[in-house]
Amino acid sequence: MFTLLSEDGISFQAERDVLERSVLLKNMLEDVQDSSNSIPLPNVASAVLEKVLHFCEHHRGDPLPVPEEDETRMRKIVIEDWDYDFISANCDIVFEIIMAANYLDIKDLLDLGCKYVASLIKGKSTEQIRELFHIVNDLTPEEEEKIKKENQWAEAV
Amino acid sequence: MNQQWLSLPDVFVLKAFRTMRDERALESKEVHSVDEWSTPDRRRGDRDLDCIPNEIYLKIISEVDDDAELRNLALVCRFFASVVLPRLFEEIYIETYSSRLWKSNGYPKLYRALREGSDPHAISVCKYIRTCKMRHFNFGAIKPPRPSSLVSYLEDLQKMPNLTSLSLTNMELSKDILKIISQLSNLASLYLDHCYPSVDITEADIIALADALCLDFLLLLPPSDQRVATFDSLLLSSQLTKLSTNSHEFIRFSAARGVIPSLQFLELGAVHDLMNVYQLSSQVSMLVELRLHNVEWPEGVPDPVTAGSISPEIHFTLPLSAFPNLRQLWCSARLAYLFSGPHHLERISFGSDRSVPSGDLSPTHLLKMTKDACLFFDGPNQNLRKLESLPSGFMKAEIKEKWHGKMQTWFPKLKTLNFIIIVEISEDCQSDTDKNLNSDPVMKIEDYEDYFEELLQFFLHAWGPFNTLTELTFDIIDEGIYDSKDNYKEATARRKWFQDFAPKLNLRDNFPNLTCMSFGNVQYI
Repeated sequence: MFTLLSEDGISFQAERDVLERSVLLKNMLEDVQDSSNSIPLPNVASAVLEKVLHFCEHHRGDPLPVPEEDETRMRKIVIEDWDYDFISANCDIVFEIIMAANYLDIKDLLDLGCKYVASLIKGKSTEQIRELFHIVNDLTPEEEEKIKKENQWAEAV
Repeated sequence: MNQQWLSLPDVFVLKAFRTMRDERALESKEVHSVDEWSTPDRRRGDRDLDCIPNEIYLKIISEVDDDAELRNLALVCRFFASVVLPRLFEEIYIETYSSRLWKSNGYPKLYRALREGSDPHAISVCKYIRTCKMRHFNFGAIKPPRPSSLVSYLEDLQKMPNLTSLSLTNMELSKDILKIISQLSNLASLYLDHCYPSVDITEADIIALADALCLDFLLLLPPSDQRVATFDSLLLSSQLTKLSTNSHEFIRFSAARGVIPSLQFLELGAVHDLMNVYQLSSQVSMLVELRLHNVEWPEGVPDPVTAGSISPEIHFTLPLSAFPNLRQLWCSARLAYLFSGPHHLERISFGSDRSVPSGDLSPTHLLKMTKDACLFFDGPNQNLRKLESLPSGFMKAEIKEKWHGKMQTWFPKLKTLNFIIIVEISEDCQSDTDKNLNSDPVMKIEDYEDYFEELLQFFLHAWGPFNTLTELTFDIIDEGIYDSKDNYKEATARRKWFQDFAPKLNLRDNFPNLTCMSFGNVQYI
């Protein structure tokens, strides 16, 4: 059993095979047998770490996804039911989960988060997309007008 | 000239350049006119959230396909615009059915404005275009457009300053047109499909074009009538690393010049003279990937398909040791009996057998795996990671074969394994009638389930256990139907049947590291 310490000082305990879903932690734990010292994760808040560990526990024992050596064979992309329920139940902190997955290097969680966010774009206005992505519009009105005009050329009729 | 092969390169071209396109998205700075770039800090606003790194936004945007959604995304901020706009306008297709009627399939409005040349926004959008495909539909009666009438359309290409890939189909190219092409300074890929030079074009003109361009990739499919001189001399382009053409063209060029371009990728169609192709291509010392379509079986050599389980007694082989850098081979499964190891291949695909067969040879799905498949069983396949489009006969092993039960030893690093299972299903009324006339019963996918189960049991017996395997897929191909490109269509198995049957295979025990398993479009893992 190992102890993780979140950004806000909360400890979480987890077993090696759960933590090894994260490539970062897997590498850190490679030479560590002693589990008495806690591992500080200064970039991950406790609310997020809890969810990330929940995901890793569910997928413990699954083979680790391998990075594709080349993309010539398209993998069929299906989000499993459990994963979909997990990510949509945590949609209010989906970006925090994505950031944590990116920092901890958990490929399947990062993919899941990004696919989910991409699916949220459908049917949203530009302003709603900005809200979703926490983005401040940095386009000047002239630039915006120019992009609108350029966009028109991509319309089919 | 074999028509069936001619339709294939498009598929290849798309795949081979996917990687290149992905890289371009990140280079989009060069072609965007917005001078200042938004940084994560500027997008942060007053929210209590750490900056989201650009690579995460890029990953999310790459998951979006719909054009209308992309247009919305372009308006979000400068960074999004810089990523999305080059993607929206990346490719333009221009088609003509007669010499006067030219139109663009995807962007008719843009193309009209481009022709007129007066709208500054349309001209500005053209900087995003990386690929242009111009095609004349040559339906018998309609003559190809005269080169003089083509000139002004090709001149439009000069409005696309970042064009890297140009494809021309069914056209006669004059001196003026060659001159226009030679001025496309960023052109790296040129596809000349059924194009021929005007009579006044000399070899010096074509060499001048080769010198003016820095071509990395050349696709050359000359018209089937060989009376006209072709663009062979483009093979002298000094930067060329990838070539796709027919074997006749390749052999003729190499014989006439006594030189062979220093290629990394070579794709040859209509291979009528395998021995000659083998000898010439083995002189391309840097060759990494070789693709062969429609190979004619050498005369006097027994066909391993008809030889069945009896040893076909092939007394010569084509050793792949002559290709020290070859990592990828794409050909017919039949060639597993002619090419011999040892080799350094990382990937072998028998994808060539997925197209509708032609000629007198028996179809390769009747092949059985025997020790004479010297490509595999001359020695362990040390580097092989991917083995694709294997005929279903390769799922079985004769007990007495030297490799039986030792597949992991023969393929120590294999990760991806893919088989093709052929069926013939008829759902079409017309063919039902035909079949009934021939008194063949009409087959449905369910009727094949016993056969599938038997094949899978054989497979388990021959290939399991296998620890390194992560991806195992079986595609079912319906031999009764093929698409407009003369490729067989995939059939889908019944999900319920497979999910009921699959547990009996104990896949996890035999293949503990599988991350993906599917059978006839049914995703199981």
